[in-house]
Amino acid sequence: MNEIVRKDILFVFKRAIRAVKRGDVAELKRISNMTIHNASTYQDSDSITVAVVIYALYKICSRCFAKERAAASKDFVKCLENIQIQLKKGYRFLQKRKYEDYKSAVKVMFEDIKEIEDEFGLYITEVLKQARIKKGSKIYEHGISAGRAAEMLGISLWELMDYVGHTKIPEQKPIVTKPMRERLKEARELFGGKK
Amino acid sequence: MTSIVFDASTIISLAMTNTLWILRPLKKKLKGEMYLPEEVKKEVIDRPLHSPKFKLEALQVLSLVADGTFKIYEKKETLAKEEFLRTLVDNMFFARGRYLKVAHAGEIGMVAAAIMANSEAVAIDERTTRLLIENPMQLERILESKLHTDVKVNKKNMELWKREVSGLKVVRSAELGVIAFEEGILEQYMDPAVQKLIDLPLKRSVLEGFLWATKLSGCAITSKEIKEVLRIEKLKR
Repeated sequence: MNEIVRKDILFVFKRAIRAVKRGDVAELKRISNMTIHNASTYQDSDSITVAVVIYALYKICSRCFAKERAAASKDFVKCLENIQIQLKKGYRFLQKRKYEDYKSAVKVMFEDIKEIEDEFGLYITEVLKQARIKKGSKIYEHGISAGRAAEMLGISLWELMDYVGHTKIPEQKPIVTKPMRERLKEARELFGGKK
Repeated sequence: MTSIVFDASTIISLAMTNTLWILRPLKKKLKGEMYLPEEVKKEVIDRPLHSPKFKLEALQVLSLVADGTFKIYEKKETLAKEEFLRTLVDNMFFARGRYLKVAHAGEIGMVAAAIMANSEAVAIDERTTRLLIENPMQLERILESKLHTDVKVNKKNMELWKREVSGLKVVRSAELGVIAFEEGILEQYMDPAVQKLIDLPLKRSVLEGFLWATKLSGCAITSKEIKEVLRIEKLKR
């Protein structure tokens, strides 16, 4: 694992452990974007996985806490505790550069997240998918093509395009490379239309 | 003979707005070929055909292949060019000690097909590949500002790339919609009986609706550009 990637994941895990403990949903959302720079640059599976798992965690917590239905549930707290344990394990393994053990901890974390679906009837599989689409759109926003971003996140280009259409990405500057009048003139020339 | 090579992003925008059909009359106006590279075909037909969510859209694209609107551009014809272009693009933007892979094989393959077919234009809705063709330095600025790091450009590769794509025009689904509008292809939405039912100017609503629909389906067009189109077309509120 790249050293910059390792250090950034350690930083994210440290903050995630604290955020889950405090039930700080906004912080979870914030830190889910922290590995996106690395994901766009190094295009490594570790940065992508962390971005997806933390975002999914944010989604679960925000749904459950918002509805207050599971907040008080002992089972939900237990599930969150399990995730916290894996976050701590992952942190320790990564600190010691035990990469295989780290990956196993992340894998268990995904399983714990899926368990919440069974326990609380949340469509977590959908949450994980949404997390991938969301992070794919972030990578696209960083300048990586839609096709490449979809490939990196293992999602279909259809889902990604549908999502980015509802974001502010096309409005960002500087992306207007040609005046509209010129674009239309070129298009008309192609189709032999009015000049 | 005029030809346009299509990227998956444009086909997806049109399919999701249920306006793929405009390509049939547009093809007649083009008096040339509309090409679908093999890699793009995989993305817009083969893969979604095996998933429930976009199966219907895939079938709609397939019908355009079946009736000859789209001609498949075989990968074997573009392989060498694709490899060359890929080397250029994969070694163009340097950040944090490595070159960034900014584009997908399908997108590079689409550009390679356009060069090999001597096409006038490519149809692309997604932003990055369009910027690579129209102004790669703008892409460098986006990468730099978003990654919060210095991005160095391999000028030699960028120049070679620019030479390869020089003269290649880019159209988006939005421009295809405007041409369809100007050529009367969208007349079917302008039934006077419909006009009687609404307070809005129907002609303007049709074009505005088309452009916003493609934007919301991923076409990289700004709201300012949409307003500009409506001004150019002199469509009053």
